[in-house]
Amino acid sequence: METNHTSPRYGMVIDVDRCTGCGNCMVACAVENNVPPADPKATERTGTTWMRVSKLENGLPFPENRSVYLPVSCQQCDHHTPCVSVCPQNAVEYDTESGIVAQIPVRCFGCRYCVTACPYHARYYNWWDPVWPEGMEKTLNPDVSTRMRGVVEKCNFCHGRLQAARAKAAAEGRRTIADAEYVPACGESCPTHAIHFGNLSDPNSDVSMLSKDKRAFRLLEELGTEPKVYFLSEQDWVHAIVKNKISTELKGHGNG
Amino acid sequence: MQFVGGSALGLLFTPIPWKVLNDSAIWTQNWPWIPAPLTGEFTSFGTTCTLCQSACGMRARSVGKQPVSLSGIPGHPFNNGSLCTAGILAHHLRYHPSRLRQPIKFLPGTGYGTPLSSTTVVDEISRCLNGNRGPVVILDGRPGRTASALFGQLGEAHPAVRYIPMSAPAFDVLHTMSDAPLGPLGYDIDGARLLVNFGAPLFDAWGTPSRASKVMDTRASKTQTVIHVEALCSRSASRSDQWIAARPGSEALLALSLACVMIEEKLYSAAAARTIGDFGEFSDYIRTFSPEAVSGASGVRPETIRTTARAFASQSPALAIVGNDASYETCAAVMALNILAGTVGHTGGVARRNAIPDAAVFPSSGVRAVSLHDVPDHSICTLIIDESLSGCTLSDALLEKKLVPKDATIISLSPFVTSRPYCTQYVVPSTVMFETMSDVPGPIDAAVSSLAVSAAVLQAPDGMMDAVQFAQMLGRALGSTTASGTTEELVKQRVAAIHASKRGTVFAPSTGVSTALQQCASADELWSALAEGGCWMDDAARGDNAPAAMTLMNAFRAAQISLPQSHNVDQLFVVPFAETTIYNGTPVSPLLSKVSQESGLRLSLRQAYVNPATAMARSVANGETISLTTKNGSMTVQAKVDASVMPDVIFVSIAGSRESSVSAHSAHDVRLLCNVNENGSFSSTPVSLQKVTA
Repeated sequence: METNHTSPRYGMVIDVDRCTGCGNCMVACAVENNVPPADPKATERTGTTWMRVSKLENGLPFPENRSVYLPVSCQQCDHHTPCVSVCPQNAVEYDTESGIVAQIPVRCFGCRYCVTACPYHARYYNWWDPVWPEGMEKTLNPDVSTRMRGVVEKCNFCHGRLQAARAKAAAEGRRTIADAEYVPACGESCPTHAIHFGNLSDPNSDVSMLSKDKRAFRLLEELGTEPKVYFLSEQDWVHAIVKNKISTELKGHGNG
Repeated sequence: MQFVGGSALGLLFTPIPWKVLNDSAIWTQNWPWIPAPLTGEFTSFGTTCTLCQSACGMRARSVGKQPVSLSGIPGHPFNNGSLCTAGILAHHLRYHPSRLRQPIKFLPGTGYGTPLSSTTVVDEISRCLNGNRGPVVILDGRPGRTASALFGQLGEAHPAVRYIPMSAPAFDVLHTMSDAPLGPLGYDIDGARLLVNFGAPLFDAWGTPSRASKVMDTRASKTQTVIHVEALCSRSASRSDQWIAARPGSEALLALSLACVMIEEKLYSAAAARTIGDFGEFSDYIRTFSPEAVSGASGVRPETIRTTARAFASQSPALAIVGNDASYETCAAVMALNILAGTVGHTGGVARRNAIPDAAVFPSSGVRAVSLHDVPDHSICTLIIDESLSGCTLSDALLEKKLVPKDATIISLSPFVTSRPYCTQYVVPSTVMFETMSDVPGPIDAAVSSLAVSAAVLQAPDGMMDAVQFAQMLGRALGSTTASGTTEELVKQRVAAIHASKRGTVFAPSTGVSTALQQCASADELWSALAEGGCWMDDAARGDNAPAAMTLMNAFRAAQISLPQSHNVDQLFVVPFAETTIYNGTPVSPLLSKVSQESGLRLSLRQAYVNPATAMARSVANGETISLTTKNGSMTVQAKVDASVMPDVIFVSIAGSRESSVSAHSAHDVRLLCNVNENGSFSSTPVSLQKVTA
């Protein structure tokens, strides 16, 4: 399945019923994007996790209590992208070539308007300079720059991997890349294959078909931001909670 | 004045202030203390993860030889492209802040070690081993490696040395129930129709990382049913077909009750019963544990116990499994269930694997392996432990019980600082993954034996030893003969012996397929496949491999399981809680802060799960500090109010407790608060809870 690189809209479909909350996506994301380990003073509110897995409970007491895990990263809003509109520095850009909302930390001066504007609490402000234990900086990914304190960062669908796939295709004389050539670190590391990734503009892609599944939902759809991250669940209580209470559930897990 | 004011105003409408703002943002983000990634040529190589016995095939993306990211090898028979969280971060361990740089000696009662030179530590170990002080025991946490064979040689060559291979705790108990050696064991999960799981995190990093995905697929295709027994609605409990909420510490009672129903209703395998020499005595013993008698202590209704027992007997092949942190009593009871169901040595049960065909290199002495539980109390003068294995945690309570009081010495190989205040301890610094050649025997959830290899790609720091070199050093100190040669030479000899056997299949990452070993032209070709992250898998053992003769009461006399006299419904209990087994108790990458400290996805050290009703009754809110007091001491923890845990039971995390302190006996370790039984297992301990006000 090949897609025209001039018009893709990359998106993600996460099967909540298959997610075990192992946290692989969180650590794989941190490795890929050079997100540093926690400062000793960091908390759940001030830590940096571009992908954050939240526990969603059905609200019943023990032993009727059941839970699922909801991996939440930047939802890559396609329409009225709130963070883009509020950034005074043009440090957030909507890439029309891929549909990815890109963060450009070197332009960011840390006003945190975008953190406030993001309805998904998916943006993280660097409260501390990045520090790795001595020697561990040798394990940093050379494709991604480290960021210092005072700037905002977030998921960009591992944009470095997209660039690498495009470069490889160009070197081979191709103008298009196949879905399998570009997979973000979270999707690659998911041991239960709960995370699907691909081109939503391609009606034949996995993600395109899964996004139309009757189990599919998006977070805060009523805001009209057209997020490109979909979730799947067969469980009615998950849909009910997401529709009615999702903003409450995620409160306190965000940043800033 | 007007000119200056006008110029200042006009300046705002030019790009200059914005350019200055932008440039200053860039300048202030390029300070020399901000770490920069390596530069150089990108390469890629395959290898095998050695952090646990799952032997996951992994591909490393590297700059020069330095790995910068790790991912699973798609199609690999064990992990099929998946890694666990610890495996994804395995390349960080080389730079872990707790890395031990030189040998160190701890004296009893102190938390401070004295650094020693490499030659001094060898001299002192030699004097210790040759001082005729008494029995020496070598504990091997991962049998089946080349290093294991060398440890075994030491046990055979020296009369004072006893070699104890430690497999999964449940298999250790099963070995003691069999009258003849059972050989290597594994769970044939794929072949089972019904799994009754006593607390193993089946959907959360138990066995190979792809296990959860495989079980989900078999459940979706209605070919397998999973019943989970645990005191909290964990990740595994909530994803199983049925969850039985049993009080913590009652798992053994529940398993025996299932066995009781099977015997009462004659649901057991008649063929299996004929092999149990003490079937009559066992039947008499087990009558005490009727569903009605066990119901009160376990909190499980008698009808649920009977229904589960009938399902276990009728949905053949059925398999009962248990987590690696289960007590001796639970392991004994769960293995008795498998024996009664007749699934030991059969498809879909506890598989008896063929031994790795390396007898030409390491001839087996035929000496029957013993369990640490069989060693008399207070009898070990010198204990040798290979602690270079991540996730291999030993019960300090059991070790302390087996050692000679006050005069024992532990000699351990470890990449990290580790000490035990109840004895003298020498810690020899070891290599970590990527620094040494190593072989990995294979996962617990595979029905056949296997072998994979991890190559050395980075230079180990000076003074570090791998397990083979450690065994050879001990051999020299004891004056015994062990196999000579470098680690790579010895592993290659093993691989050549496997190739000569022409048994099994080999998975080659370069092709992504498994082929019969007979098609592998040479030992070098097999070596190449293994060295790039492939694996060799043996053929399944043929025919009926049921044990010929079993004696169950050996284990149950040691287990001393009894029904509690009464249960105070208002009493609070504290339980040590390990969310995942791979990295509890051993240092891991600091980047795992993402799943604990920075997100609350998993419990951090000094955090505890408390049921909302329990918390509300004591006016404790989520995140508040509480004090827990038992007759053994007290500690403060942060309460995480969670409806998935049983009321009146406090689950306290043991995550990273060894990492947080040089001593296992620290104020952060909840295990010190808990009662320990005769077998070194922690039992539910009555506790009082008080809210700590600032």
